[in-house]
Amino acid sequence: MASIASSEGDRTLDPAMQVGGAGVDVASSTPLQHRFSPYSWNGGTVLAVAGKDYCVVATDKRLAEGYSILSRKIDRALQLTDKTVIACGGSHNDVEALYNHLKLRAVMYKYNHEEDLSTIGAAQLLSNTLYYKRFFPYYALAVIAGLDDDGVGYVAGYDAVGSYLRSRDGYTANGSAAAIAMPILDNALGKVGVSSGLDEKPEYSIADTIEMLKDIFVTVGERDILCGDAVDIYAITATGTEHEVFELKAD
Amino acid sequence: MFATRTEYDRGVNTFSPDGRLFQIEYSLQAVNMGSTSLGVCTKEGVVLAVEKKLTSPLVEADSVEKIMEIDQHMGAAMSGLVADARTLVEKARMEAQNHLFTYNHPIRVQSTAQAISDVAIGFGKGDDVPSRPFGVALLLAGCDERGPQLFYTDPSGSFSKWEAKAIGSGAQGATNALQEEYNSGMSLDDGLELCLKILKQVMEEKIETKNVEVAVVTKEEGFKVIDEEQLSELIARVLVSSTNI
Repeated sequence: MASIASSEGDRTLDPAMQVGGAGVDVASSTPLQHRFSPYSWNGGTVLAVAGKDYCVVATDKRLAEGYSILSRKIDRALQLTDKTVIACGGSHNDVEALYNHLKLRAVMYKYNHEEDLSTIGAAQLLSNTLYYKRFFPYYALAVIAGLDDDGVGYVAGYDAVGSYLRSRDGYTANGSAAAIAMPILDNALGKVGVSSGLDEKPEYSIADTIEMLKDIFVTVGERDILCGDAVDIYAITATGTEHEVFELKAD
Repeated sequence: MFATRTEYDRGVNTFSPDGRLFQIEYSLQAVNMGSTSLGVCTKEGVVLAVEKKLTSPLVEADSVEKIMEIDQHMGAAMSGLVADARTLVEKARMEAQNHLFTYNHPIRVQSTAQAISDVAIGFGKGDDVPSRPFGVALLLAGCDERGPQLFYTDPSGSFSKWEAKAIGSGAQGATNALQEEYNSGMSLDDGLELCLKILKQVMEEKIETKNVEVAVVTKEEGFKVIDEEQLSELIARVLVSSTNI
């Protein structure tokens, strides 16, 4: 385009610039196309496991685009309240815009109602917020993790337009490596697809759950190029939320 | 100029030199002239009771409604201009449904009282509110995670939380009676009986099922208007116990 635009003479010869112009042979001209690419796919894998009185959510810190790594230490998780953490894969610009909005809503909720927004409240609010942008969605593949009103672990996964479901089995995965991680979680924690014929869901301690999630991230990091570098792990209990960073291979 | 009160009670936005807004004070007077409403909060639930002043024996008593449901867990009794209360109740209902839609959780009673007060002091500022203060006060009863609660909202835009409260023309006598006889440990049944007993005392007409309206809000069943059968039973009980004294 630079050479075409370099002189007036060239510009008048460029068929693309003359669409709709007087005396132009429309049939042989190429239409001028404008493109708008507001989205990136920056990867991001989120895993969450709920227990009887705790919840753990883990998400990687790699910001990727194509074959490039843009950062090895971004934060994908938002600690919304003492009892609720949200983490998203997707387009990181949208994820940050979404978080800024949710933070504002949580602060205003506390001013207006004199208590923290509950996990169930945050879950519905997130759904509505995503759905209100149904026709220009936030590219955010969210997981919400926390404790419900009874202090029981709560995890729910979302699509980009706000459809969400609280996991009955108490675990979920979303984002880049969700399809790789989910069968691993199914096998470890689920009741379906397990040949040993478990009919009771195993209950792991919070420490074992954290170790399991670390292992899963090590595993999926070998298969998904968008996943790696390090993992943010949030362990939510009634006494508060503990955060740790677990290093992965930076390759 | 403006030497007398009459010069300062015209506009709703004009303070008098001693810092009063007469139109708001007059609206409080409209509440004092309204029929008596009572609210009693117990550990098991909240009782609302109002006197229905029937203007004619030909009025269908059922068509006079002075206690309204706001959500499944909340209701309001009113004293003053009943027509004004509809605007406030409508707003409270919208606020409650909007909260449920947004947060998948019933709205707090206190948040609803705040919402009602916001409308009450927002007179003159929109198409769906009057240009004057609202001439009505509400007793807002509800149950949430903080337990059974009773709030009072008035035309000045303030609200407060009460264990027991009386408003309307019989408020003075009823308040004295409540102070005498209310205790925070009383049962819901005792609360019901106390409300009817006090209404009986302050009403000019003889108490009967047609000229009172009673509702309760409990954690288990939410907002429930007491039906006629139960009401006549209650009234009979109150009449008997008062003749015994």
